[in-house]
Amino acid sequence: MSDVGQSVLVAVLVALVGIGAIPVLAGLYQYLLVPVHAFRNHLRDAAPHLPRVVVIVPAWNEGAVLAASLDRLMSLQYPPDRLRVFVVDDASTDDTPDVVRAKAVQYDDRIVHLRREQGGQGKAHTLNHGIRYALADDWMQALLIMDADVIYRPDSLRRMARHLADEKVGAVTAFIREGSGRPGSVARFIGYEYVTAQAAARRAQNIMGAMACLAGGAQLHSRENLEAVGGQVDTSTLAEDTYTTFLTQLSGRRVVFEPAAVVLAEEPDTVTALWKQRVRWARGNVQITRNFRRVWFRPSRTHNLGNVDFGIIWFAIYLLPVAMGFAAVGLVGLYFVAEVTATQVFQGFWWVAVTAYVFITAVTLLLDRETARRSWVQGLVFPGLGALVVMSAAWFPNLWEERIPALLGLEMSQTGRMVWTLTLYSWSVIAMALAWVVKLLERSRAVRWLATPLLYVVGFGPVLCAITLDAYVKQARGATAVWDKTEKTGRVMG
Amino acid sequence: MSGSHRAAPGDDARWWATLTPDALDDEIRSNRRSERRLLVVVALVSLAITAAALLLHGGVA
Repeated sequence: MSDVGQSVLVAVLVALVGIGAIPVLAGLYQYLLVPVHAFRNHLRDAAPHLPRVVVIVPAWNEGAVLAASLDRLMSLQYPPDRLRVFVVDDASTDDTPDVVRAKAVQYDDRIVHLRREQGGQGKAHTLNHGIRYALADDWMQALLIMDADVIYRPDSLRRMARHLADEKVGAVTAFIREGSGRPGSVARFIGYEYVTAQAAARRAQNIMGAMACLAGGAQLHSRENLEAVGGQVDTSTLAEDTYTTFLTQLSGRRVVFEPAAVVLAEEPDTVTALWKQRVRWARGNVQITRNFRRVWFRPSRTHNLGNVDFGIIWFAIYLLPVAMGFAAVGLVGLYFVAEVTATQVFQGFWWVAVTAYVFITAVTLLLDRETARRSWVQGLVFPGLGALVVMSAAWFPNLWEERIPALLGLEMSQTGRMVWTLTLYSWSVIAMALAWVVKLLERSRAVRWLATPLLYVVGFGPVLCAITLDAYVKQARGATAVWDKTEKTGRVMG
Repeated sequence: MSGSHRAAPGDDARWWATLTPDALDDEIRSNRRSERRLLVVVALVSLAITAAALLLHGGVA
């Protein structure tokens, strides 16, 4: 190969690694915006405001969790004469109807049972059934969409409602905190993830003036907003909450995240259940990205969804598996073409990653100390023990090739060094592949016990990347889009 | 009644739960202060930890 050809190839490979660094930098950018929320937030435009609220609770076979959830709703610190609950029973086959009727009697018909005889069409259809009833009456001034299994802290609804005093705000979302009574490893990882994706990221999105998604289990809409977005939620995608979030902002209204409004939810506690839930979410995001393709990177006077920073953050998450693949291809390619450059780029790439990891982990653990108490271990190993080894190798060259073997009186062979180096360079892809193995192990009775240790080695981030990749494949193949309900057991503790 | 007249833990929460305009207004102001305090502390401590890690790396490497 000519010198020019070699130089071009090296430049391309370095660029691939650079693309791999974009999600890391985008994450860091979001986290640097978080402290700005101390001084720039919507609370200065909030005011005492207690609109008449209809709560829509979609329920399909939720008998196990519904009674506690309704009791909690009825004990919200909110004027009783301004709160009604519509439970939309999606043709449940368990005791859901009996539970709702009993609660309606107990609470003087402030709880209403709406039955759909044809169920199984998905959450969006169920919600629309309730929304139609709510809009048919002038009584409702705001509408809260929630999940049957979530538990609202007593002060949460009024803390959300105060933002609707500002007519420019169309919808408000709360902080969904993982609240299982006896969380396992996966639920603890999710608890930590929710702090990063909500308490941190949504504060940053408040600053940017562009919100990616109203949490499905906690979205309060003004009546005006609901009517402006068509009086119903989208039924054509798997991400009806994101769709509504985008429509709200495209119609010129703001969406606000209220971190002081806390809602507890039970989340999946197996990788298999998580995979099913997140494939649905990721496929929904693919649909959203395509449906709103004319929004991206086109700044507008009416909304901020087209702003460059929001677009970079959206696509940094959307294309994360691709970026990780690019980084691995770039580093491995450089190893064979220009080994010294490979070492320098590897150290530079992971130096950025280490800095981001330390800062992001510290902010996340300090931001929500309740979650930190439960999930600090999962927070520290969120990128995976494997990635932490890679980071240490990047920060302390020869640590694993020379220093540690020397302590044991050992020496790594040339072949061993090559295999080790290539493993480090391609770890981001290896971790995604191992995430599939975690799922397979979990399904196997004989070696199921290996799934959890391997999860900690792989890390939760790479598991989410692998799920996203799976969602892309399913979407590209045109696999049937089904709304699989995540099984809940009522373990959430208020 | 204003925020400065309450001392016992839980007093604020009980006062805000009365849902009077004064109480709700006080809750908003209190939440703004809490948000400011929390995020300033989070930013300073996180930056200090990150700087310490970078310095440690510089010293060891």
